[in-house]
Amino acid sequence: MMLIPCPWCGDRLDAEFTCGGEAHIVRPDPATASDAEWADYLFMRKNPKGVHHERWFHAHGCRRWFHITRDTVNHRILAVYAITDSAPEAAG
Amino acid sequence: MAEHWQRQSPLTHLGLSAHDKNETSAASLVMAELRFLAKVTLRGRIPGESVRTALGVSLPGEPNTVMTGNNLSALWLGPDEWLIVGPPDAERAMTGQLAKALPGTAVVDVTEGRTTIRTRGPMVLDILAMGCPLDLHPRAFGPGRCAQSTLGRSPIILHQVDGAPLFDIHVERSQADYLWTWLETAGRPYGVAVEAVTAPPAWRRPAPRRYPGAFPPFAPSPSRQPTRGATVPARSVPSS
Ligand SMILES: [Zn+2]
Repeated sequence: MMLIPCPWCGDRLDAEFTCGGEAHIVRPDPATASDAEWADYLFMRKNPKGVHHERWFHAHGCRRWFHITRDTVNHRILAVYAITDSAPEAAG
Repeated sequence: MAEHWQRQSPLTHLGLSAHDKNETSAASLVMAELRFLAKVTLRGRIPGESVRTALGVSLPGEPNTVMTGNNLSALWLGPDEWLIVGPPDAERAMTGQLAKALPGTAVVDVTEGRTTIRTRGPMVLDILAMGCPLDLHPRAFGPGRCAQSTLGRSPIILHQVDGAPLFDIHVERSQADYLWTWLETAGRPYGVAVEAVTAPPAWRRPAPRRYPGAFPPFAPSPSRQPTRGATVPARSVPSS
């Protein structure tokens, strides 16, 4: 069990959420990207042991997307920020 | 266009009215169905004042809270989304008023999408806690609060109506039978009773807005009346 801090609803059980995976993936220009760059964009994800920026969706609550920064080793949530914001510097 | 239809609650087959004479004083969980409550969703950036003028209830700005007024409840569902719940058969007039007051806003009648299970009783918090991940303890929840969550894995909109405590659970039509049975099963070891609910008081359209007392309808005062033949002084051009 894990509590996810929704910026609107506060701490809620993880079962109310859907994880949208790694955040801040930049879409390359399909006109100029090589096959390798495009494949990297589509399929390759970081999967770090440690600090990870993720997108979450409060599916059974307010139905809003937002970002969290989570330590994948101890599940500690280091930052919560808007879906339109870039990753906080301090959290890595 | 169908002007008449046979409206049916998703719990009709349970024959709840046959049980609602049961003694409720000894029960730990008392359940009732509130049938056909009017439900209208609003989406957009909406000035709360315009809804108060149109319906007689304000929109809550604080997440997961409820404002009540004119026999309506306005539930916060998201930063740009609200559910307005009213007495049966008010939905058509409500959507009409809102569509007039809020052109360009999504106003949708979702009355038929859900039914409402009202729960109360000395064990209601414990029984809801068996299947709902929300913290409903009075230190975290309370009257006038609402939340979207799950109960027995079924998506619900929960509204705590009073501190008794009494909860209204707005459940999707297709899940209503499941959720009713789930609640009955969860409460059975402690005693469950079904009660009848008197129809909620009707909603009336608010009276058309009048000018507030500070601004009486405009009537030019005699002293301000332009004098016949008076010349208008030429405006001086400010030097730059
Ligand atoms: Zn939320």
